[in-house]
Amino acid sequence: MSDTTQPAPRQRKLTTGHHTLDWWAAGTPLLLALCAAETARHFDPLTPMGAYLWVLCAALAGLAVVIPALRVHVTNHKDYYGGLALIGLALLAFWAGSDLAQMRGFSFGAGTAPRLFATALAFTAAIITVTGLVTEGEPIGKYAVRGPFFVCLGIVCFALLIRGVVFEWGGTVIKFPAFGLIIASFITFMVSAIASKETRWVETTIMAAAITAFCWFVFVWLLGLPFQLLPTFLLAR
Amino acid sequence: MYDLVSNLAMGFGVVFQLVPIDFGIATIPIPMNVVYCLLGALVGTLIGVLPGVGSVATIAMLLPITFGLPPTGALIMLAGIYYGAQYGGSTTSILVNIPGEATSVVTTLDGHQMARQGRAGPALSIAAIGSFAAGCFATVLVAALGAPLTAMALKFGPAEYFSLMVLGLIFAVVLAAGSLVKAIAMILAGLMMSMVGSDLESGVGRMTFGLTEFADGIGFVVVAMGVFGFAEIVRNLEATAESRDILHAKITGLMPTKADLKASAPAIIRGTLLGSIIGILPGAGAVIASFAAYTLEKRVSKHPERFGKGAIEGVAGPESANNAAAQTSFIPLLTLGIPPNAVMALMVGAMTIHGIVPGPQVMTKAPDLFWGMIASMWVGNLMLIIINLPLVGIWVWLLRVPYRLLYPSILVFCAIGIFSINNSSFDVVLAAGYGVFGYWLIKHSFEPAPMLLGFVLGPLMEENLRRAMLIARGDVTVFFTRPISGGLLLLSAVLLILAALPALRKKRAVLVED
Repeated sequence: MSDTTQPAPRQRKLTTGHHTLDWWAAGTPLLLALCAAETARHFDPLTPMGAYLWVLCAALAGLAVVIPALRVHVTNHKDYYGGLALIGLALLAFWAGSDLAQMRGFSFGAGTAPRLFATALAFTAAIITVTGLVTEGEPIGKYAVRGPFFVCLGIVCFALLIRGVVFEWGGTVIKFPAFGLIIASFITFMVSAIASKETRWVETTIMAAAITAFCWFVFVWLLGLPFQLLPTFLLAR
Repeated sequence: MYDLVSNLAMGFGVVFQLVPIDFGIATIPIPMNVVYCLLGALVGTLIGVLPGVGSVATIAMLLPITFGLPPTGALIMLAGIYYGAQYGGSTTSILVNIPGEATSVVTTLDGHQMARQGRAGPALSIAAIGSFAAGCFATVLVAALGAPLTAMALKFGPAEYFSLMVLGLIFAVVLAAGSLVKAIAMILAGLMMSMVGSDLESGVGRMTFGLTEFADGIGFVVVAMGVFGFAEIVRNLEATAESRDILHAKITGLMPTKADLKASAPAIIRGTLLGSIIGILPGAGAVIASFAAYTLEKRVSKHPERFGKGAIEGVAGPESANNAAAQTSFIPLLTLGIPPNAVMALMVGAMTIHGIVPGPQVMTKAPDLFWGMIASMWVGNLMLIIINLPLVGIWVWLLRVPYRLLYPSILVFCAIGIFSINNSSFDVVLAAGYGVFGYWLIKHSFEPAPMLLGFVLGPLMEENLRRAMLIARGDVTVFFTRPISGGLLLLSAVLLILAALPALRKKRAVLVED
């Protein structure tokens, strides 16, 4: 957790008048302002909730204007974008829960507590965003693509193969048959192995087979968990 | 005093209960619960020593093992798994400088230095011995304090519960390593995410996006595996091979010398006392206990300059403290039903799966279970020493598996673990999503641990808040006017202000960096 500590040098002044315009720094709050407007539409503007969302929307829009106008230079990217993303998360919660009941007298509605927490989150996230503008911080660092992508792909492969999934989109139905534990764990191992540059294929294949056997041994034979072992189309015959 | 003895006797009676098992040829009575505990400690250690698999992931992964067992056996096995996982984390700290989890971060400082000097054996042994000594003391303490604390818990109304949980969350904020505001934001994000799913009172689906898979809410294991397990793997893949390189030196001399024992005995006693006290506070848990013990040892030592260069007290103190704290943190868990940290939160989840809702009623409704669990803590500790002292060589061999082969194996185990809980493919994909979110959190210096605590406490907090407000007929002041509740909130406020003060902030940063 050593990289989570904040760097020592701090600066408490907004850095403006920069030469280049930071499109991301202005675009992100603009996008969020639009999201806030869409969310606020679902609430009565005369209630505290509706008013709060419109204020949030105006603040975000203001940020989107001020940053290109004054050529503000974002000095702490981690906090600035981190705060904005959490505001986005809070907005998502408001939007997803906009159909829920409000307070009735002194009795909580289904939506009261989620809105309470989301409001507090948006407020805290706003503080973090502002902190990102007035303090100095380390750069975020490069996002790895290969690692996360193949790790996730491996996990998704497992989810699709282990049980079989049916997708329905409008009229079209896509059906994945269940392939069972043995194929699912082997494929998951091989796909996620692509994520590392150090992988050597012969030893990986042997290890994948060994782990598959180990999983069968531990989870099915020893612990007796109800897994389907082989593909459905093999079992049917 | 009589109660203490009879309760412990009842507990040990449950643990050592003989069950006749039919072996075909003959029926032999066997203390099955001890076997479960031994098995739990064994697999817990086995999984826990894998670098990158902390105790949360270990317990999450091994949870399904307990599903087929009767509740008592399952909980006793869980206790074994818990201690196994905890000790496994210390093993990786010492051998490869990878803390299995937050509580063993301090152990890396001197433990790994000792290993580099070829003294990994004494370091591992002292960690086990210190843990055992701390475990013995803390078990008696839990047995002695469990009953009075439960009596107090019964006086708690919804307002008090709510305030207590606020205090627990504030503890998590104060002790988080990074920025205070970010830790608060993480807690709130966790609270918010825990609201997904059916509303307790009206049964309405909340923030489900119309998906039936969300109707039951988001599983704790899904979040924990994603944010800790998957995100950690992605982060490790970024690191260079050298930074996570495995030690190839041979471990010589397993047992500590007389001088080692003499140096570490007082450290073990101090660590045990400190850890026991800190563990009782809800929300504090084993992490600060280990940090505090290390700081204490450094302060009382005549040669503080030896610390960080392989001082055995620097292993003995924190290791005893974190184990004592882990043990006493069962008190807030079992009596108040409040998990003090992420690992304990998993234990709550496990108990709920077995139909036991932790809280004051566990003690009165199922006394055999309660005391059996407390006795099994001690047995779990004993098992640890039995298993680990002879098996150190094997753990080292396991750690020589290169990371390129290790991480796909971990992924496969995780995927199977998540799937097996609900037989749900959706959960597995959701965990992958949380993995990406966790990676994002790491990149932006947000800590996932407070989020997880908020996620666990969310539903409980909402329930008690709603109830308190209903009873007080909408009067918010009830939280401040009721003495216990008001006191707890005052304490939270003081803690938060103290943490925000610049002088203390600096000290905290030093402590975290140490």
